[in-house]
Amino acid sequence: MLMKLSYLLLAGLTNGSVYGLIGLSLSVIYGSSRVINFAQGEFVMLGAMSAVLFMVTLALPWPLAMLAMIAVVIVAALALDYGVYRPLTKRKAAPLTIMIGTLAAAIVVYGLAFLLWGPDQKFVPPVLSLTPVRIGFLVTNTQQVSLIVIFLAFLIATWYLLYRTRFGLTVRATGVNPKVALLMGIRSERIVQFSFIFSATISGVAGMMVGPLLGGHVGMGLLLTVKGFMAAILGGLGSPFAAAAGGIAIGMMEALMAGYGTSLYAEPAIFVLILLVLIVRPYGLLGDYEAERR
Amino acid sequence: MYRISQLLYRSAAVAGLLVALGAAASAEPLKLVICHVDDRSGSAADTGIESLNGLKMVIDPLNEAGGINGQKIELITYDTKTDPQLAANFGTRCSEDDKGLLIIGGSPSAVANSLVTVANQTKTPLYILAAAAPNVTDNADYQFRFGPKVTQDSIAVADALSKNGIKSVAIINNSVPFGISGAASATEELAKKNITVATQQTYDVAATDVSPQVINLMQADAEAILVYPYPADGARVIRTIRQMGIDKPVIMPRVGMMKAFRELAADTGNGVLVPSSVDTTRPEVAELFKKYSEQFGPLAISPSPAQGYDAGTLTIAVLKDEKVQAAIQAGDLQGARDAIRDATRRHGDFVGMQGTANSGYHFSKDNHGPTDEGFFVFVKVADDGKSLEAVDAAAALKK
Amino acid sequence: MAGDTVPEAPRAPTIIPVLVILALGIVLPFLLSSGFHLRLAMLVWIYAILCMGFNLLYGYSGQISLGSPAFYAIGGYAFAMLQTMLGMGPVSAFVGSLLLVAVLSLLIGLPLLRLRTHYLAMATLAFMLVQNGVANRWINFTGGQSGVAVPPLEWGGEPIGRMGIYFVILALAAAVFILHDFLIRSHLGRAMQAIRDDETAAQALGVKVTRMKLAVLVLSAVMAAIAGVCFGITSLRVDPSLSEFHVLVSLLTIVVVGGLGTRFGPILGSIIVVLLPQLLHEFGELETVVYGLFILLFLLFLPHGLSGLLERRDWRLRRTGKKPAPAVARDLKEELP
Repeated sequence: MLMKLSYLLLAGLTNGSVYGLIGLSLSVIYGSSRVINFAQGEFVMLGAMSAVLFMVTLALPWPLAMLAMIAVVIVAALALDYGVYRPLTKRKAAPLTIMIGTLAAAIVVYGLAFLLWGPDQKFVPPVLSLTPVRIGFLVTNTQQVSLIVIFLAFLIATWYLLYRTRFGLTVRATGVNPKVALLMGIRSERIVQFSFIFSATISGVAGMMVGPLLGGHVGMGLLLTVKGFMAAILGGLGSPFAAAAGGIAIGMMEALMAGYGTSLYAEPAIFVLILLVLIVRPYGLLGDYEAERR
Repeated sequence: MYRISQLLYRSAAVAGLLVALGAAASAEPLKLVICHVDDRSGSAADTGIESLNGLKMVIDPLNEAGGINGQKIELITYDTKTDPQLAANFGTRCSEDDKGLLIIGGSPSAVANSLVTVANQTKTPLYILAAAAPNVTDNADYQFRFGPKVTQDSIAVADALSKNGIKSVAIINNSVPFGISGAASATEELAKKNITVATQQTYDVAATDVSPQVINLMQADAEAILVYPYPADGARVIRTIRQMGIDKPVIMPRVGMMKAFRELAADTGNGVLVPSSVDTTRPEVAELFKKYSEQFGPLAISPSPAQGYDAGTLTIAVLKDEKVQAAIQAGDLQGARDAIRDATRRHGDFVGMQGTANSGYHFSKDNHGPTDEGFFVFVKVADDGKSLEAVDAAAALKK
Repeated sequence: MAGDTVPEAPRAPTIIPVLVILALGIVLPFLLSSGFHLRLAMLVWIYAILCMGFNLLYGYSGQISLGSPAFYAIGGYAFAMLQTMLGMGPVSAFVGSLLLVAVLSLLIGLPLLRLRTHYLAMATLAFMLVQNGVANRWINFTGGQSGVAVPPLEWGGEPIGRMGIYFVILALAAAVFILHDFLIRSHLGRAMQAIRDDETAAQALGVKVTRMKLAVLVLSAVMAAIAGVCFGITSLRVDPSLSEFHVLVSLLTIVVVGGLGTRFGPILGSIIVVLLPQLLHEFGELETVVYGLFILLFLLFLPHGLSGLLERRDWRLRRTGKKPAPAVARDLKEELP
């Protein structure tokens, strides 16, 4: 019994880390620009598919492949910034209109990726090993464990950046009020651009690490975007840590629901739970920060 | 009034566009137009692309050789993007605007379902490809299926299990329609053979770690495990199953053959049994796949090229049929379509590239699809996923 | 906050353009050469009905609901199942499905409308995913991925032909269109815009914000259900694909291309969205990319969509700082329905 529970918790943590990584990266962009990025999952897809391109097709060693992959997602992030975000903000579009813009961008990215990689689910080579390892009485593999590690690493990095550096202060200031931040001499466009790049990097790395487990498919982005959305609103969009916590919560709920309840209806049931949480707490579980700011 | 006149102008332009879209010439005799309406992007893109290639492998050589009575077959292709509504539009466009004699397509079941409605409404014959939903050929008139029903996979599995004396099975499936309906139909067929389903577990395709479901499988302690996944999550499931030390036989319909699954599963995939509608031990089938790879690039064994190829073979046989030709030469579109339907029934009992050497399609009378029995062979994943071996289903699961 | 970014669309004083469009709708089938075009025309009306509800809710009241496809699907499913399971006639099934959706949207709207912008969008998206998930899973009830067959409409024992179906749909679309237009031009429309622009201010001015939002949500859900029923009688089958992402993408494309918060946006947008795939077909593999770029270009260069173009004269005046023609006192005449 204890064994089952530990497995469930480990699975919840692993899955939650993936959702949390996407929630975290969604929230990084939201925090600086008030935009929900429908193309977030496409960064994950680009991460996984670039791994295929660089590690299989071009046969690079994985550290090089990772650098190349990060270059790819940064290019995509800049394209999103210069092609969608800036022109729309210049035209004073509402945040929800910009969200539709990111959806259009997601369609374009999917279309291009489809031309490049075709429709098949691809084998993404593992960076670490997929052979079983024992942790106490639990059996898992390093590739899976690495997801939790990466999640924690990015969480700490984000925290350090936002709360322990001068730069982070400017980022937070921009998120609270871009106009005032501008008056204070902060170049908010730069800040937003940085958040796009940082967020794309998180998602890209997540994609490369989760690819060997989820498989690489040009259509995988949408599903992960939705999971990230749910993580972010469950925790609270305003803070990256709340969004990350939302991801872990969803992962845990999924695992426990599948383990002890119905696995068939786990997905809809979790969406219902999220709805209920939002009814009680309209800004997410940890969303007080944003409620105050409004 | 300025605005209204502009509005009128605009609407007239739109109406004009609509009319212009339909300016398709009809000459006598009828052109040999057939349409491939299937996913070439979207979630079932691989099946649509492969079946189209298989279809071209039959039709292109015929056209190069001069066609049928000097007429070449015109193949019009539409991409349905897994959108049933779009599929219905393209199906109707084929039948009403392109004056298509025959529609071939419908790999996802939802697309096939909406094409069936079109076929019935416009009285156009329809060759359905990979769709697994059992009901697309219920009360069939104009529609014929080349892909087996999911029920047929399940019958093959239930049959094999019962021959091996297995009494209880655990099912694990993903939460996309393929997984859910696969599991549901398996449950039904297993019950008919008095095999109990010890547990049924569903997981999300986006879940990285499927151990909660696998734990439940382990605790159910069934004699065999039946998996309905997509390739990548199939690999995840089999890895987790083996990682947790469950050594029960695993059956994975359709997906177990796919290359992405075998690569991702590597050594853990060894021994996975797959009921398959493609028997690569038949020399002509092996030859087909060899030619396919030469022409279109490397391909894992999959039923789709065979389905496209078989649909093409039958199309040509039917178009050459005397009565069909008579209607075509007379320029009688509906007559030609009805003749094609009737000719499909007459010529439609044949052994193609799918199925075993002695059991193929059976389109005569009410069946309109592959035969229920003996259509499947079992193959086993071997060599760390690098090869597939034919096995005898009756002995495959015995320890 | 949205106030200065979404300028109030100029209001046309007369109902004549509406009647002209409907007249064109009546003539249209006689101009079309094939049943395929008639089918496209039906789909244009179906999407227009769906999007008029969305337009009232998002375009005018500023409340985004990504749950519209769910109501669209539930409407279609209820219409089919009330007939096949309870043996109702098509008319009572139609009324029943609308009532069901109205009650359901009321129950969901009551708690959810407290949420703002992105939270509301995501929560309603979650609702759509729940609906779609259940439709796919509860095979014994919903038929799973195959869905439910819709009995064909009959008149005097004979199934109604496609032309007849077209006019049934046109009649429903006309009713929705006239209601949509009436609401926009009445003081209710301005109350909605007030909510969109600033809820607190609207409240201060005496607009019953909560009640209004709820009413618009229910109305838009019912309109979506009407669209779902129309889809059912056209395609004779409803399945989970009614509430999948491509419907949502089409919906958002329509409002963007047609023009958000405009009178004719939903209809113009629907024409484009239904015809576009037929035209883009020529692009072959590039189709998806072109589709995405197309939406982006509209967002960037025609932020008020095609319907905005129709009104451009007024906007150009506004941009150059001249005052547009003064709004007539027509507003005073229009009272509550």
